[in-house]
Amino acid sequence: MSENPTAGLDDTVHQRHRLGVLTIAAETKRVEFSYLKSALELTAGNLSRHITVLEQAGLVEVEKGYEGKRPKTWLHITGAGRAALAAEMAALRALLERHDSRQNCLR
Amino acid sequence: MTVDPKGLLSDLTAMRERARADRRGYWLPFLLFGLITLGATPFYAPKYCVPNGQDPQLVEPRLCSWSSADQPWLYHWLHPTGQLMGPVFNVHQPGVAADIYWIIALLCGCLAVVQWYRWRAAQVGVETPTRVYAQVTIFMLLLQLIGVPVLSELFFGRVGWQIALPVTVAVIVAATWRVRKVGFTLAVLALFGLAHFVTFYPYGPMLVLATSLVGLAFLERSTVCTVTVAVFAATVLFVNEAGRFGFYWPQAVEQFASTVLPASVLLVGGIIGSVRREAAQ
Repeated sequence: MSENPTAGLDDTVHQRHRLGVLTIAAETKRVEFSYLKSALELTAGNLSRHITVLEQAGLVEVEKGYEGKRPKTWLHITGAGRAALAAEMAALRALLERHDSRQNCLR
Repeated sequence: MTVDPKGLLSDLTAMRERARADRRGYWLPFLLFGLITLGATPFYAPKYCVPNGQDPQLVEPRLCSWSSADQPWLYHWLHPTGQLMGPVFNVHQPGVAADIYWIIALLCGCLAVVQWYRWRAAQVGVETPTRVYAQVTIFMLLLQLIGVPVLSELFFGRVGWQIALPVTVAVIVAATWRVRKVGFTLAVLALFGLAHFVTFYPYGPMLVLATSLVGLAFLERSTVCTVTVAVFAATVLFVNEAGRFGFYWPQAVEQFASTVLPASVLLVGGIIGSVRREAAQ
């Protein structure tokens, strides 16, 4: 029997907002904190907590700086982050395929 | 955001597409390089001379005669196997000025594009990675300036292409083998091949521009950007090769058609990209 696709889901990455952070970061060289806040419709505190989890897992790196006088926080995905995102997406797709094939069998 | 896998995947796809659309900024590089291509026009204009001792009022000027032996050392360095010239290729006289113009313009253009994407990132919050674009541009310029001339002088010119070509290919394959990607090895081989064409085609530097814009299209992942770059690359091949297939520009436009046509493609692509961005906002 093949392994259940849920075994491929990583708790750190699977949380939907963290998955959103990684997806946007993977599409860019770097992404700014306020862009993520607006795209994910999160409060600054909530987003900060998610980013801390991802940073501690080595999936993203955070760079703080200034744009003129305004402080800016940039985030970029690491190689481990890209690999974790790819594995998570593959697991989600496998889960979906398994679900769809079960539905077809029941019909 | 939804929690079922199907909804989650479609939410993530929508987020990725939004980030991609927000980070795009190809329209400005297209406008910039369109103007740079247009600016090259005077360097390809034929020069007319009046024979010595004749009254310019009475004699119709003719195309100046030239010899590659009269060209400075830099010309021979940049074109080790000569250059395709003459009315067939719509370029009547060789000149090192066009080479210098293109090298400076492509280098400054590359720096401006990288700065543009950094500036744009500060405005919108997402930055397009420009490393591949900058690497391709710098690599092509280095090949044109150093790689091909040195290889021609020290290797191809001494042992003959029959030996030098397979050895060069083998060395490139061995040097790129550690990456273990066939696509990467083929890309490096293609860049070396293209750099050789750059040295003898009359509008060779436009091939460097087309190659670097392919790198930009790869990063941008936009249909308008990809189509514009494909049409530009085809146009560059056309202006370099048209004469060989018996195509000649009408005399009224031949002085500028070979630069204005590819420049127009970039300018139109840039304008379409800019209008689409405005419409999306």
